[in-house]
Amino acid sequence: MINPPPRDSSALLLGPRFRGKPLSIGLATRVVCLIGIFVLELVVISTWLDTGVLYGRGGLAGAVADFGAHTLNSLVVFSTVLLAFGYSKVKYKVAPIGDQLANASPEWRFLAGHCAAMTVFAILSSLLFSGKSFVGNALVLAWLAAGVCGIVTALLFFIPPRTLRELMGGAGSAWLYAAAAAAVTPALVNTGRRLWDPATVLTFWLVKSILSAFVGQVITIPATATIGTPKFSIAILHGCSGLEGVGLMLIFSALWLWFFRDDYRFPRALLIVPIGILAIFLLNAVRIASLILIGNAGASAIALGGFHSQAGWIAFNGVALALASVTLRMPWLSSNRTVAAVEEGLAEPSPAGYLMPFLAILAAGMISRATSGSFEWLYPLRFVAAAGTLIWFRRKYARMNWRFGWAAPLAGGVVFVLWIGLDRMAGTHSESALPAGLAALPVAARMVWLAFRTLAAVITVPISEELAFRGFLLRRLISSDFESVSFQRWSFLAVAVSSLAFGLLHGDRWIAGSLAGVLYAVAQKRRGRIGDAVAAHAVTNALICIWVLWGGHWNLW
Amino acid sequence: MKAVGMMLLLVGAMTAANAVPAAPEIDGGSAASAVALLSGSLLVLRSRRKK
Repeated sequence: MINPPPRDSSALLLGPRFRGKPLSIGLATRVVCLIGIFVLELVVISTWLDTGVLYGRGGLAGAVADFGAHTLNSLVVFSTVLLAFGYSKVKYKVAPIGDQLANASPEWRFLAGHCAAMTVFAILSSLLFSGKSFVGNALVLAWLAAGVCGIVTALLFFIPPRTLRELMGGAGSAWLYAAAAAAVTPALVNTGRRLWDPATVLTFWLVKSILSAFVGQVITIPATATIGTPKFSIAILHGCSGLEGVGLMLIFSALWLWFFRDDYRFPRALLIVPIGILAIFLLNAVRIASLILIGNAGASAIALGGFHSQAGWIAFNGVALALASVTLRMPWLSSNRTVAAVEEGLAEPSPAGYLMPFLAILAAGMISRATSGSFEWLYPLRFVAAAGTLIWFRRKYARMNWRFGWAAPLAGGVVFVLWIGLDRMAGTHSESALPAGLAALPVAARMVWLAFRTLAAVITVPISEELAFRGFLLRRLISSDFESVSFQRWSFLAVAVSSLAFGLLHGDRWIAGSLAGVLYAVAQKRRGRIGDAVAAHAVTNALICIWVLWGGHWNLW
Repeated sequence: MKAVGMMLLLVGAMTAANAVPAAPEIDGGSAASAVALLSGSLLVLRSRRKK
């Protein structure tokens, strides 16, 4: 007699990788997909709908105009805070729930419900925001109900009701924090608006004091916040008043202290917040004074070009890094255990070898752009910085597999075709300043610049970016002990997040960049060698160089 | 993972901040590379601590 096969024979035959149901994904991936859908829909809604047409309508329509933007802001803040603080409360549940969900299919009826709700929402939106006079309270209520249904069904599609109840119940005080943050958001936004004027006045007088130390005659027109020298002057607008840096520093220092609260002594560690805010506000005045001095020296293109856009970030990164690094070494602020560990350099597997070449390129890029007008004449600095860092960590790289097979150049070629194709589909880009900048250089300098630009694109950039994104980030998203993760191991979340991060660094070519990231990850996974990803990337960049230099498509650089 | 999570939140917050007005002090066009530089540097810094 022949025994019937076991019911789960396919799973036994195919092994553990195939045990999950089709399209089953874990909790982290579901949350990322949910956030992705909400962000996408929010962007579409914010771009499409203009609450201005409802002003002065009265009733619920008028309330939407008056409070719609505030409510949306509060909702985003509520969700972000709940997610951040709630995670720390339920993190012990995340792994088992993730395993559970990895074996469960998403509930398609909720996706259908979401699509239906959003279709109704879109139709009602076109009626509500049409500017016609028939808009009544019933229409507004139906519109709000469709929106709420859309949110709830999307939530239930990715996270089953039972899991959702379990997670919500475990979040505890995170609900309170989220509600408090959402409640104070409108007040903070309004207070922030009221602070623009005094902040501008304070920055104006700080800049005047700094300039007085360097130039004999400082020209000031307080009524328009105009300040400068007889040769070069600027107006300090609200956006330059220093409040943007203050806001970012407030967010950074609060998040830093919350996430690493075990490493600090409270309440004294809270001093980090005002110190950071004061430092960034003063540095903004230094930035504006420097900008005027650069313009006064005759380099107005640099002052208003690269320096204007980069100096704010250089100051912010400098203050944030200094605060993080110095305070961890101060026994007065940090726990003794933390100070000892930092000084001894006891560590998890260090990402330094993987990240430093890429970080060197970014830092050199910020400096070279800050010293440039429209043409980045100091670009060779990026090559030198990356090459120097790669040489510094050469012993670490000697242990990696840098060989590559035939499929890697093929993948590189495919990415090149994608890159050019998507670029053409995207339409015209702004005209590149490169040809004019190069034409202004002597022939020898032009050749040197082009040589460094090409060498960077084909050698240092592919090695540095592949070490950072495929070598480190992709594997770090799989395990904190990333060096033990094989170059062949994959997870949907790790590939998606690392490729998207790679894509976002390519600005308006982020879609092509993200697809390129996925294809380089495929090249790496095939044989488990970082050499394949680097070779594919180098081939893409080499082909783009040829396309630029022979075809004159300078906007690709 | 704490540092990665914090950086993702920071990126989110900065994206939201940049969505409001044009920003002369904090240039939206340079946000990605600036945040990547900060995130990477903090990750390297945080790796130099206890297991």
